[in-house]
Amino acid sequence: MLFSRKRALARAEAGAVGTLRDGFWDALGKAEKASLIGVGVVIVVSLLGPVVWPYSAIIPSGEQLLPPLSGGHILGTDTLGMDMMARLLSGMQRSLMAAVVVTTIAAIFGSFIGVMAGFRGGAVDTVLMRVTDLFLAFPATIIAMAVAAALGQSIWSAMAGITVVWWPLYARLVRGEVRRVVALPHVQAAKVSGVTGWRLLVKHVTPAVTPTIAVTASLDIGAVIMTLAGLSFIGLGTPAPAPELGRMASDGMKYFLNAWWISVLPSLAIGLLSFLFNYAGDALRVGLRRKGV
Amino acid sequence: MLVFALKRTGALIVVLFFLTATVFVLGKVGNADPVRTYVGVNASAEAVAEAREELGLNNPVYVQFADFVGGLFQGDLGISLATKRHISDDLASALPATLELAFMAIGMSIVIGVLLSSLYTRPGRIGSALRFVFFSLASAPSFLIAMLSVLIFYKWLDGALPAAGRSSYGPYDDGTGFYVLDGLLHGSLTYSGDALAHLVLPAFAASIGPGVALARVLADGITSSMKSPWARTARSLGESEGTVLRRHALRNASSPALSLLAVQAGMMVSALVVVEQVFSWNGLGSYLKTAIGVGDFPAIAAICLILGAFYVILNALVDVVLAAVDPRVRLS
Repeated sequence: MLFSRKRALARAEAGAVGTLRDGFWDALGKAEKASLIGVGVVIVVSLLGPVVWPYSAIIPSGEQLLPPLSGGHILGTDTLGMDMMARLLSGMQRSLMAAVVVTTIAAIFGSFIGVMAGFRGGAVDTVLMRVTDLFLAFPATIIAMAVAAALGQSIWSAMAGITVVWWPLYARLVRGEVRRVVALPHVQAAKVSGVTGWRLLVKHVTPAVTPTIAVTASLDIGAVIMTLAGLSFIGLGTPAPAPELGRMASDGMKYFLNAWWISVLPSLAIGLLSFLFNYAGDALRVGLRRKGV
Repeated sequence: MLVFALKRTGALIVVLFFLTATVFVLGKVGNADPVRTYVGVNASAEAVAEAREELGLNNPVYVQFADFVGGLFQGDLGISLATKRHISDDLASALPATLELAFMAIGMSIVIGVLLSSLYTRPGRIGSALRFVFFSLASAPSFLIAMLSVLIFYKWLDGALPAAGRSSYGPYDDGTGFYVLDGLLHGSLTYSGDALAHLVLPAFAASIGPGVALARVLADGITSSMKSPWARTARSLGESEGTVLRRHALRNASSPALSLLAVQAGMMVSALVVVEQVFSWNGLGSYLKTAIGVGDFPAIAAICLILGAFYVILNALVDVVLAAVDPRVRLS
């Protein structure tokens, strides 16, 4: 009995962690590797960029409305003479951090609900899943808009709005995973050996569902960045001069035909982030599938 | 089948109720003080008290909710704090504008999806290059596509397509609000054509994402159908590749494509909100943006309710239609 439990555990751990380590990289194509590297570069650039770049993102540093590649400003300046490159770097940092925070909170809360429902079963399961289904039936972006609008114009309200609509996805996913894992031989073996309740949950179930949650969360970052940008674009973000990409793009629309760069560049930055994260997410999924997860 | 439809309708009503309740509660717990927005920050205490009474804020919350729901049934969405008019009156012209754009965008996504699906399965270098381009386009925010299309077709091609507003002529007094239809009703093809030209760019910007998603699903469906045993049977009975594709593969691929299209149409709503800003399209999205700018929550709530109800009802309709077509759905 003890032997089989050990072996089952070892297999589960190998399945959970080993695949990411061994040969994952080799299973990827060129474009997929490029996208993962791209994501790494973007993360580093947006974390270090604002520190290293000589101009401030919120203080005017040159003439107004300089086109790109003029007056010492590589991407030009905006209506107030603030350096576009500095604003883009800070904006990307903000988007990234906000998206990571939203995804993390949504994943943790949703997983908690999912684990409760899947592990306890019965009435708890029914009630939690009904609520989850109700939230899933809601139009996500629109509810996010309503929540953000009720809380006032700031990036925090936008983040709160998105978190409110994002957790049910994890609740559903994790519930299914937990139910699957509980039925696995190693968990059954642990049960038979007298492991119950929290110990079973923490020691045996949670490690098995965590990789799925992590992969799903990393797949979601691109979508969260896009949704945040959309909310910010329609005015549900921190107002200028805060360097928020969506807001910059929509504020710049007034000068669009004369100064396209102040709205097109932030939009391109959002597009780049969402493209890289989506593509890298796909690469991650493909790589894991080829490894047989 | 009837049982399924009834069940789905029941679920729909529950969701609609909770949607309404959520939006109402958000209005109550929100940061903004509706009275201050309504009368302004410098108003006298009497004016504030009067406004409270006028907006029904002195009633208990459950009475306010009942009034709100009762109003919805009569098509009354409440009073805008900013314009001080009934929101439903404000929306009378905005709703057709958005609907017209939405119809055009859905039509365009179907065209884009079907056209791209045959390119999507293309093998080799060209195929993967195409897939890369589509993937990038679908990843781009709709306002980026909107901006780029304005730059290309309006600025650089010297006004090849109009990039702002709905018409060069203004609305008919007795019109329906659907400009293309209005032109036809008045026998003016010039008017309809002009309205159509105004629709092209915004609809294109909103339809790229759904169009590419549709192409992917169609392409996947067709590829797997063409390899299926029944396609082989059809071939062995002497049917040509084209017939197998049209009569069997396309039909089988269209069921998942239809359900995807419905989901996409629901999500397109939020893309339209954004695209409208770029093209100064006086629809729900522009109204929403104005309302957000001045903190007019009742107006925001009304828009969210309309768009949300549209999404929820559309999804329910599609479920029922799919169940009618495919018995596996209603038995699962």
